[in-house]
Amino acid sequence: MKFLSATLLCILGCAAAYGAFVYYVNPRGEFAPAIFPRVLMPDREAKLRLYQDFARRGPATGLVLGSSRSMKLPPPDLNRLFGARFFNFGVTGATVEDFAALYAWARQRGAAPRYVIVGVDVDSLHSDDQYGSTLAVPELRVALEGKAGLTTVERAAFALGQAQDVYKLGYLLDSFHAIGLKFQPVPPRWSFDPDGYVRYRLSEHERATNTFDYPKAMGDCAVRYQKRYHEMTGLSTRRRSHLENLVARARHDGAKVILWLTPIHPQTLPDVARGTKYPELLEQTRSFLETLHDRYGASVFDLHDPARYGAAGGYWYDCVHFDEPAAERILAVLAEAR
Amino acid sequence: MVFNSDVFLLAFLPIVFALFWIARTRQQRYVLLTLSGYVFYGYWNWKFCFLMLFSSLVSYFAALGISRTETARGKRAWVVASVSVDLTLLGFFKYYNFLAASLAALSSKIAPPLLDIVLPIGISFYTFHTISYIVDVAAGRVKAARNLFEYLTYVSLFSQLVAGPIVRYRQIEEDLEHIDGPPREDWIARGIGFFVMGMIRKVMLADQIAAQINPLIDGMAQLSTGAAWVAALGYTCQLYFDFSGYSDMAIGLGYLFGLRIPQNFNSPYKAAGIRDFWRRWHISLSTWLRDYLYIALGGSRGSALRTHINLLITMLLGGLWHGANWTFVIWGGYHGVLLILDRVLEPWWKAVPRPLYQLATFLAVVCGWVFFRAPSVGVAGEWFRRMAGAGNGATPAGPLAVLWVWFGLLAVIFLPESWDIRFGTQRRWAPVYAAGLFIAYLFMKQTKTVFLYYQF
Repeated sequence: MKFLSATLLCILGCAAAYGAFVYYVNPRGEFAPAIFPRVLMPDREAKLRLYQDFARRGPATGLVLGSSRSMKLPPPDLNRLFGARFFNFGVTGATVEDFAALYAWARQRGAAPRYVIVGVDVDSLHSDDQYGSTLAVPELRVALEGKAGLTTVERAAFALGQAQDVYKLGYLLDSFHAIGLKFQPVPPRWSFDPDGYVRYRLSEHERATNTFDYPKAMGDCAVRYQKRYHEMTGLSTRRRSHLENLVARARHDGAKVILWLTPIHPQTLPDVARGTKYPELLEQTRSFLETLHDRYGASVFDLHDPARYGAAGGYWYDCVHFDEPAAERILAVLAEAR
Repeated sequence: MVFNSDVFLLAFLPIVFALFWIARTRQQRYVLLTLSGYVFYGYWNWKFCFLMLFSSLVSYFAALGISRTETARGKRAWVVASVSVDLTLLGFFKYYNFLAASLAALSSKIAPPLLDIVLPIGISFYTFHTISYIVDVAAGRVKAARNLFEYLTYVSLFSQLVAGPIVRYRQIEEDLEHIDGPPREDWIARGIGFFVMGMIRKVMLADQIAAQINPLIDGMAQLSTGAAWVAALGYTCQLYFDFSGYSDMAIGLGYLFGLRIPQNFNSPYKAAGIRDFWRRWHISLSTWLRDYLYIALGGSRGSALRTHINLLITMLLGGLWHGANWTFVIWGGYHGVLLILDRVLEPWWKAVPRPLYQLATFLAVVCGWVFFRAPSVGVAGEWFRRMAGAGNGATPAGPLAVLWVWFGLLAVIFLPESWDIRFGTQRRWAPVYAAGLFIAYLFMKQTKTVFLYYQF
């Protein structure tokens, strides 16, 4: 067994050397060293910290919940339209349990929302029931499950999960990317204002320098979402239940709930929907939101087709992330719910 | 459970490996390997462990019955009874709904109702194991195993349980008999080498190519001619690296436990002629079909016409074995016709320069994979239309997809079969294996996939 022992020892050596390397480079800002720029901001944690700062100046009375497709709704405009103090809690890749967890977490910290605006993507009710991102943030998991805190075993499991995430090809590539950024700086992909509003700094920089590859951004995005919808067989029962509970809770808390179906750029919609059940899923989502309207009096807006409200003509960031002019059009529609 | 998962690599394998070498006696090791096979299988769905156990016990006792029966007629009765049970189980779980749906398409009056049947993973493989065992015992090629756990180890060996290779009992009987021997340093090194090569083929080639071509195949109706070819060539590479990768890992695991599992691939895309292709592709299946079906049908002992009919039947059933779908039947029939043409045109092929013959063989195989991969005959037809330049699809393949397919084709040409690699057994090679495994692990964690042959 000498050969096996030597091989195992070398594997441990590889794992240790790799671990030390990514710890030192720290591409996602999870460890202490800050020698290299961050490649990817863990936005759930970032939003939680931002909200804590935001709440020091007074509680939020308006919450925007949703995925990154809701991040572009500007709180200052919402404040003006609704007369409330909004914080944008949109987080990347969010599914319905994220909305529920973030709402619960904000309520635990004194938020007293009069308005809750929820951007519902069809895939936020995805049948895969993968709760990875939300449950990877201990505070959100605690909030989602209504617990007082985590047990030691759960904390250990979280730590193990985080360690495992490091041992992925994507993490290694991010490390190389971070090293590259150190020597050839470009703006980060995005940053958040203190009220949670997103600024796509890399795309803006590329636009300003005329290097933004619009067709590629649209094409890559269409492929990504086509895959996501291809894997979606229906609306998750668990996730429907999370959304319904969120609406019921917010209504119980005295908030007006506004649900809106997020758009896909019409230019890429045929590609996104190709070989998927997207039209059927869209119809199911719309019908489910109507049910929530009937049961809880939530306002519902079907904004899936931006051409209908004049938001398709702009210069989107990709097939689902709309720009400022489109955000203005969306706000104009949502304002009808006041 | 799949080989490319944390639960297998970090828990199951180390525990079973350690216990195996701690155990000293044959019986302890048989019991351990049997239990580990059932745990491995039950991790997917424990209820189907009983089905596998039932199938194993039927063939085990049938083989004992055969060995105690003097007359040929009596032996035949045992074989028929045992094989019938196996085929009934396989037929019900794998083909009942296919038959019902096919009959319903003809007439709803004659069609039985569709049932909510879950296809037990690996049933096609372990059924072929048990059938070959029974037939071999009846033919006197092997003696019936007396030790129940020795036989259960053979059927439920986790390394080849759910996706092959289809190992005959006689091929590992000797190793099973000497399973209580001490570890052999050279086998351990070979085992690690095969396993690492298999992982690399699976996660660094097959899965990466799959990520590029699956969206193309899903959107077949929109594809340009070039993209349809990229999809076909990409799938050709993906399937080979996926399945040969799995086979390498199975062989490597076998070595780690002192069992030599036979070769399953031998550079199939370098074959000259379809007969040569089937001598190199999924060798354990093609030889199984040859020995237990083609020869049983009469093989090439009769007239040329009879030989061709036997070939066609064998390949049609071989196609159907892969899955309950008309696409697999057509794929099998297509290869049957190609085999016949290969025989009939043999003198002409001999005059063709070998590289040209190899290229023609490769292209014929690529076209066959279209049926194999397409979810329906309609999609296969659409795919062929796109490849032929018909239709008005204009979506090109992305540059990354093209790049990966080129990379895959180059790997097909230049990457040696693991059997051709002389794995270093000195300790100075350990860092190479470790680095290969570690890098493959990073890829594995990035994309969670199962092996393509798990569905069969």
